[in-house]
Amino acid sequence: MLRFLVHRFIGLAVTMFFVSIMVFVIMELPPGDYADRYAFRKFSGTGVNVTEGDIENIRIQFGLDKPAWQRYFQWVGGIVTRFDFGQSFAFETSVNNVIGKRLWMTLAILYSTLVLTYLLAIPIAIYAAIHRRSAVDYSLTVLSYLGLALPNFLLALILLYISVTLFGTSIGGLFSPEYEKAGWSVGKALDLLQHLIVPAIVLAWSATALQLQTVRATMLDELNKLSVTAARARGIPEWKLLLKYPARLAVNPVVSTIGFDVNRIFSELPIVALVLGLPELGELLIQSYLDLDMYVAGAVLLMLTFFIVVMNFISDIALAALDPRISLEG
Amino acid sequence: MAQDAATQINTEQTVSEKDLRYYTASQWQLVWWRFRRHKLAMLGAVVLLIMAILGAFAHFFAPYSVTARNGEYIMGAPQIPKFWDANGVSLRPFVHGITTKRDPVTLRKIATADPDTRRYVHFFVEGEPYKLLGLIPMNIHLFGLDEGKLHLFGTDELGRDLFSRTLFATATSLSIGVLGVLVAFVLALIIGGVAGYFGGPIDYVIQRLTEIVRVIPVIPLYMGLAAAFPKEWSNIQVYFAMTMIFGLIGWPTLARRTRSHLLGQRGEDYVLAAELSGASASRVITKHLLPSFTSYIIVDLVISFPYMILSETALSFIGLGLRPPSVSWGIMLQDAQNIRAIEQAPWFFIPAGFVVLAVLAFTILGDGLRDAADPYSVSSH
Amino acid sequence: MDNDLLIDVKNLRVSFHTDEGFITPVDGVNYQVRRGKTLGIVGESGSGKSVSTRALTKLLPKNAVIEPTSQILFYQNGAAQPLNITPLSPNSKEIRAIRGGQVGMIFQEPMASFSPVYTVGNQIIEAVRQHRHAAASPLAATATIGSQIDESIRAGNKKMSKLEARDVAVDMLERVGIGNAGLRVNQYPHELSGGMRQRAMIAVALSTHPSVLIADEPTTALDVTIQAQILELMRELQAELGMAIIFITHDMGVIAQIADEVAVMYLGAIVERGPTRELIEDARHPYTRGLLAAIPSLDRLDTRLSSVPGDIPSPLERPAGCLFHTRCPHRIDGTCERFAPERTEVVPNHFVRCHLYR
Repeated sequence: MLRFLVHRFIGLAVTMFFVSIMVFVIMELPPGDYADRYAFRKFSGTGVNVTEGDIENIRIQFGLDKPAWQRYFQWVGGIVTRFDFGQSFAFETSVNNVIGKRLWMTLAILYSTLVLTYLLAIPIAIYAAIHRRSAVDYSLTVLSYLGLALPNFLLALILLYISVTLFGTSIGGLFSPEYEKAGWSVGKALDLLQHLIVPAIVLAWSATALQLQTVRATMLDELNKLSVTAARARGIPEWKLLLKYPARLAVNPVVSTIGFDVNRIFSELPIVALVLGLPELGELLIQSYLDLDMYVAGAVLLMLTFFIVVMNFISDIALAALDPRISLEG
Repeated sequence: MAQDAATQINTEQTVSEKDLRYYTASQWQLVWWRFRRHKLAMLGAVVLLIMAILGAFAHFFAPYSVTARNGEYIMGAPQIPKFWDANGVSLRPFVHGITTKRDPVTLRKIATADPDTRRYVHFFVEGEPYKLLGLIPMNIHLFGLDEGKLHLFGTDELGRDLFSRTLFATATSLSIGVLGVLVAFVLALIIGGVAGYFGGPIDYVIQRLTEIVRVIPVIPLYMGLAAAFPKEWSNIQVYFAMTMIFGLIGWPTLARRTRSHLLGQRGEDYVLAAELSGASASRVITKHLLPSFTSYIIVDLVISFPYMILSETALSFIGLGLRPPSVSWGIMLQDAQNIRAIEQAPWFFIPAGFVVLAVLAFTILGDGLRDAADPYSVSSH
Repeated sequence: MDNDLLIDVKNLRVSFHTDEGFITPVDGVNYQVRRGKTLGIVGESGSGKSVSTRALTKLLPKNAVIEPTSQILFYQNGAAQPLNITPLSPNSKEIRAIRGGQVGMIFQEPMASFSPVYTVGNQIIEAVRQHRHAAASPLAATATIGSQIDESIRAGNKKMSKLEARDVAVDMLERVGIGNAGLRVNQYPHELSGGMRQRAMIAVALSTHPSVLIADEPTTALDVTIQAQILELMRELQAELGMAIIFITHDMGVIAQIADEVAVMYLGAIVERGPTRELIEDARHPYTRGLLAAIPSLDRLDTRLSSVPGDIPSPLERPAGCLFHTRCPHRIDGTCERFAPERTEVVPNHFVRCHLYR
């Protein structure tokens, strides 16, 4: 067991190392460097004459004159040792300040989406597989096609449109105006929970569609297993044996794809956040890409990927715990 | 009695003829027979075909060009041709003429339909000159009004015809999908081939690298790469750069599936049987392996399309993909980002319908093809 | 009316609704199951041998229908009248009490018969707690055979505790010859060897002390040496517990070793039935003879093995007249393809359906 954990943990670290290199490459990709953009942003339109020398000074000030590999280790070193993600030039403060609470909002959205997805997909898919070719089964197929075809951000737009035209209220944001600046209280938490419902539905939309199909297919497979017939031949009541044998195994693919779901949700999150006006990391990511504020973009990309890797790690362990056939020897 | 026996023999013969036809049919015939039975997938194929034709001949089907503006009809609602109104019935479809007034408060132009004037729809009318498929100079458009302009899908904030723009956007979005899938496919073949040929450590490194790339959420990754496009790039450059990105990020999925099909087939008994009966490696590959998985490759290609199309739409939607004056579904939907705009002009959503329809059609077609691709599976006979 | 009769199947007819049409894989089957005896059912795949036995516990696909004219009579201890289960719903309490309680089943694939995510013990304990009750002493098993139905229907009967059930499981694993049973009970199916798994499967089926054990090709997937061990084990357990066995196989060689009576099935009908020795030494039906001739034997090493020519027809295209006439070497033209042969008792207890013996 311990060996298994250590093995997986080393895998996690190695993956994060390579991911950080890739993220650094993306940060370095846009033409021109930080000093150019900093100077442009700070002095353009102010009438100050900026010379090449000034830019060179800024470059030295930020350590940009060093070779890329040195800057990479400086960046990663800062993150690992001091949890310091560098400077945002668009906000003229540290990246940590810019990210601030957005990190927790992102996690709140992620987990409410995951919970909603699994609460919907698992029972419905199991029911549909047992009652194959029933009305529920057919509507499930139609729904999962729609779930794949209607992108989340369009669903968000449609929900926005409906809420504005029919109810005269906007469903965007994560807090009502009266709680926006208020300190944490039970009221604020409840308000947040209410505001999380729409983003969760929007983001769970396609994830649920995919999981419905996976769970239904696995369940159909498992229902035809001899072990189910054998249990039936032992006189076990139908609902009891369906839950104990096929349904229990139909959950395995869900557990093994948690990381994949998180990846998908984070992939769709930025655009949905933009449409719904959610103050979290995805929206910040788009903003920083458009501003070429690459330290912020790099930090967000790294954080999102880190959560995916961690969720992969958790799903590996959970799957090993759920399935005795998976050896824990590592 | 003898007649009875004769009919019995007869039915037996027809059965065996049917069987004979089945057992001697080529693989592609079988695939086609099975696919034809899949009504929904056929429908998907037809929808895509129509979309492709509309896109490819957009200049002909669209009454106006992408940038043509109608100052008289800004943010105008869709006009639906009618055959009758209060003034009677007409065999030729018509729409009502437009009169514009200026709002005394906001000074904005407001267009209202004038129920007493009729503008008739004519077919194969002369309009703006263009080159069909970029080759044949023409100026005939499928339809137009005798006087004024017809806007089937309404107009945008600049008074541009949304119907025409949607058709041109269809061409762009579908072609980006096609090119993206092609680039991914070629890369998958080359890199997958290299990995397969050299095997061992190179295969391992490529596998690990693609796994790491797959960990990063894909749209944020696309966005990061798209953000790096220099501002001074032309639209053509951005267009091709985007197909390159989609191909670059998309190939591992394709390569992985192709690889697993290949490995799966290589272990099958019929391959061993062919090898044992002295077939050369090239014969095994061309006569046995390739036919067995070209159908799978086609399926894989078809089901990769929706992701490419959705990615393009998403990127252009947030302003990191194609840029105006290019027109794609994502760019058109940018106008719908603003809640004020869609409140006043819900027809800005029309391109979204095209996105959904295209993705749905590709998905259903892919499913149908996947079922048909394995003609020897149980339910076939 | 003999006291040993446990199950009497009369005129069993099972149909399936399929996409291709209505098929009848079992048509007009009669057989009896007697205490302490083994009935062997032989036939090719598609002969309806599995369906005709699964009908006893209504363990059939949803699209299957047991025709109401069929009679499946269960004779129970103490009951004056046999219970005809034909009209009962497959999900009824009575059927569930019969499944596992009165009739145990083992299958061809021991690995697939177990769920991979539960221990062997878990699956035995589940069955034991479903059918046996705290009141019944676990070792007074043979005395309670056949009375499970009444027992489980009787209200207020407490379930056996998990600990007690675990003891039964360990005891049962020991009885089927699994050493170190106290440890094995906590192991997962994939941790056992193939032969051990089939032993465990027998333990699961017998842990509830059924009066009838249906063994559906239990040795087909095993090595020959292990096959012999399992057959030996089943004979021992039968002598010890006195249950009846219905042994389904396509292998005439296996049937000769274990069965007291043999029924040969072809296309959903029993074409010949009789005491094992009698039937093997004096087979009448051309199909039975064909099957016997196909057994490899050391005495006949120099002669060619013969087989029954042709393939079993699809159930969608059942031949008219005698079912076997399309493959029969002794076909009487003008008769066999037109009239179905009646059942004839050639010698006492030896029945055959063939126009050659009218």
